[in-house]
Amino acid sequence: MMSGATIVAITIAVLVLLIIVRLPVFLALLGSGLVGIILVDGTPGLGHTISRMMYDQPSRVILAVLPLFIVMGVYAKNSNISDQLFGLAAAATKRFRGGLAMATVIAGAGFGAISGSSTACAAALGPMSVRAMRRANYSPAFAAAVVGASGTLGILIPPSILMVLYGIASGESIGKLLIAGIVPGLLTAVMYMLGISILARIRPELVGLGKNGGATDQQVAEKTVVAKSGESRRQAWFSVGRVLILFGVVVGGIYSGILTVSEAAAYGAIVAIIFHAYDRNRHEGFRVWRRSFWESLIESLNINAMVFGILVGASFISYVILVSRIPMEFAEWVSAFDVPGWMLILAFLAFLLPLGMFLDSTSIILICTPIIHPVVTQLGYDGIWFAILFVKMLEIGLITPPVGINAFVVGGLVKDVRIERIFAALAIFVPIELLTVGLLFAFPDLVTFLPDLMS
Amino acid sequence: MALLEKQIRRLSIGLAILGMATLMALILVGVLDALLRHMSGKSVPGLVETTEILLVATVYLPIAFAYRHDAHVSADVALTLFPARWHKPMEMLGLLISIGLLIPVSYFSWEATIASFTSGEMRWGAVQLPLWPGRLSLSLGLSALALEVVSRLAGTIKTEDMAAEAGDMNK
Repeated sequence: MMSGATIVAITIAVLVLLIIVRLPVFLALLGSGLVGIILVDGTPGLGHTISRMMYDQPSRVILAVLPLFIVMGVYAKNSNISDQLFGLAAAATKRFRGGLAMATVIAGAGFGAISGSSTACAAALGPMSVRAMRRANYSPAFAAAVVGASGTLGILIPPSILMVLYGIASGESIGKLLIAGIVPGLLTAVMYMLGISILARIRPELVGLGKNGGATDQQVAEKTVVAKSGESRRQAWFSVGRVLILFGVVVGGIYSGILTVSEAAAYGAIVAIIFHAYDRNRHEGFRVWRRSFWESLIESLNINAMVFGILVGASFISYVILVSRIPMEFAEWVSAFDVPGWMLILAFLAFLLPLGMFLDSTSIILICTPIIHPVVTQLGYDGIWFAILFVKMLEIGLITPPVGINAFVVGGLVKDVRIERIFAALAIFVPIELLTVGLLFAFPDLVTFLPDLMS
Repeated sequence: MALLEKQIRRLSIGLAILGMATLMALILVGVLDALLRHMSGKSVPGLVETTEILLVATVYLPIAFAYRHDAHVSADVALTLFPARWHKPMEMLGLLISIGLLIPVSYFSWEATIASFTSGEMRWGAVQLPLWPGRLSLSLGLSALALEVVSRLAGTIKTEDMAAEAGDMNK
């Protein structure tokens, strides 16, 4: 009889092998999970277990939040909101060194407030902000890196799909998790802007200073669509209004207790679809709107299939982990260490860093949360606080090689820059992220005070 | 072969269109439920059960279409750690494993669908709803996905053969 730890080790080894031969992650999770289930339960009843889990896992009503938030994010991305946010932010920061990079961060935070995905955020921000920064002679790799890093704000500032998944995997209140992301998200944005400001002084060539030719940040900001006419400015402010309405409906609704998370997601999705229809019809006509509507629906469908595929696949591995009693054994093993709790938390967070470099965020949350989260709460730490630190570490995985997905998203926008250079430029943001994690670790109230005030 | 590939593509697209319909229905049910709960203070009977079935359909019906469009995440970087001449055989091995995995999984899901249909399996809640439509979407989605993987494997083999032929001609 194999021990639980051996079974899980074999399961994880099979997972790695399947990922290496380029199976989609959800199939790799499913295949390795099945190997684990055979080792745990044997083959009798395997067919029943498979069909039951494949059906039961995605049919939980709480999961209806995910497609709704996905639809909201995709339709918001495919409206003109992000460009107009960037234009306004560029006008506000034009007098600062690295103003366009700061504007990208501000627009990232703004767009993060209506989109729950980092890739959607980076993809929406990228085209206009990279073009503007390149016009102002920014280093192309640095311009791409700013967009990639700003995109990560999308998974912290609510609504966040990863927070919803964390809530499902840990049993923490999803509403509180979403609200808890606000201050850390804004803090990250401020830290990014400070970092950019310091970099602009230490290495001015990154932000186009000291180079001959090209425009200044101010000149480029003044040429953005937003600054060209009063009508454009009004449109841009209208976009800010729409962001506030969407944010108000979703986050305000949850925070005040007027809406449940599912209701907020449903209203958010429908409001985003209405805004998208207004935007496309007004600026590009009915035909463009109709095409964009269907394209957005297909995009939402594909993202939904991807997220749920991983969710179902990961549930097979979670089953193996739970039946093998790994969470209990892990808790006992951890409690045998005579070290302070905060050191264990640091060890868990440090473990997430390399993991985030090789596995996608959704899989990490669904596999690791059931093991680590109970230990953290048993140690007496706040689960919501740890969730934010957990997601912060995943943010770093989004911008570090080899699978830093945001780097690949922005890589598609600056095709003349090698991906290695983008990763190198993104490395500038890793210490800023770690410093932010340090602040949130040292001052837990930054995370917990807003959810604690919730009705 | 081209005809078969065309039929597989049609199947994936057809299921994705059904998936779009269920996604739209899911949004409408969500909004309707929220609106009615705020107006009357109670939920409409059956909406929870409907949501469960719609969720399953929204997930599985477009799963083959998403595969065709490479929407599923895969860690390509891991493959690049190996010499370039190994990439194609490893990729083909991956496709074969996928087929070997999806065929029994699809088979078991069809078994469950047929059993659900013949036994009149119901979701017991505020209202009774048959479960077989959800199970059917699972079976259809997984089977279409298996066919998509077969189609991709055939495409990869064909490309290999053409490359080999081109290599022979250049000699």
